[in-house]
Amino acid sequence: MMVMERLDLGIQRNEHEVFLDNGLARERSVLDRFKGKKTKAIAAVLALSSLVACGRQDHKSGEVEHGPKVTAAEQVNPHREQGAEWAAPRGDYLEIKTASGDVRVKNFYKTDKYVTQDHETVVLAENENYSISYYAGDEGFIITLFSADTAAARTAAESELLDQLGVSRDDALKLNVNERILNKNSPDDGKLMGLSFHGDK
Amino acid sequence: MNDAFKRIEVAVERSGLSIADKAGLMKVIGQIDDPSAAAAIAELFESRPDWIVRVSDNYKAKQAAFAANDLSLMESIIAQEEAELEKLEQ
Repeated sequence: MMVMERLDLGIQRNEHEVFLDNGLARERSVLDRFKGKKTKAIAAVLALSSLVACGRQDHKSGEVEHGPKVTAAEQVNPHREQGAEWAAPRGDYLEIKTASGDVRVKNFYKTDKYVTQDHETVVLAENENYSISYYAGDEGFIITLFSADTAAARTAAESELLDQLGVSRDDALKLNVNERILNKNSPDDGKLMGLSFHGDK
Repeated sequence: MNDAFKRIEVAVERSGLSIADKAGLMKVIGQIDDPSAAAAIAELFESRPDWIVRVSDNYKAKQAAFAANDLSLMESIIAQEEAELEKLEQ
């Protein structure tokens, strides 16, 4: 489905939200203007940024709306609707849904470094060698390895992840965890991988 | 994840954006459902990394405008967006 149609859907679905409709309608006029031009792709991305910014992004081609996705954070903190005051989950544990069943993890909101302003990203660790982040949107973790000594950074980051989540390797393998090497001096720069002990199973 | 999205992700990771801003931008990028658009964005982000920051700033500004229900702010953001697109078009 074209971005234009998605903008239209956004407009039609919530007619009472006049401000959002006006903003999206204005965005649509920009998209129209750059239609067929070489900048059409970036114009489309800027239009998508409006949809995401106002929370009307869920109109992808062929998708049926199933209602908002419930994240681990929402299980213990149901006050995530717009305007409601956000509070970090208070319990000792969180349940993360995975294809292999729910995984019970320690409440990492208690041990994280910080939570981003939109409360969507929890940064569990961040140092010169690696960072570990959790994205509430897809309940996934990403480890980014910056160090020249990739193997050492990977071991340390994975160990910290297991520690903060309080899970076994087997349970960690059920989670959506990706690792990315970001070091221009490494031949593996940009490489995306799973957990190193994946092959141990 | 196709190659274009990987290229975008790497370009965004390499940018000087904060982790929070990277996450916000990738949320927008994740909405692209046209592979040719994703390839064009990968090309742009690799050749013009300044556009990574522009798109991120644009998204954050819109979030602020929508949160404040500020139509004049939204209008000025979109006017700037149009001007930048015009410039890129030349």
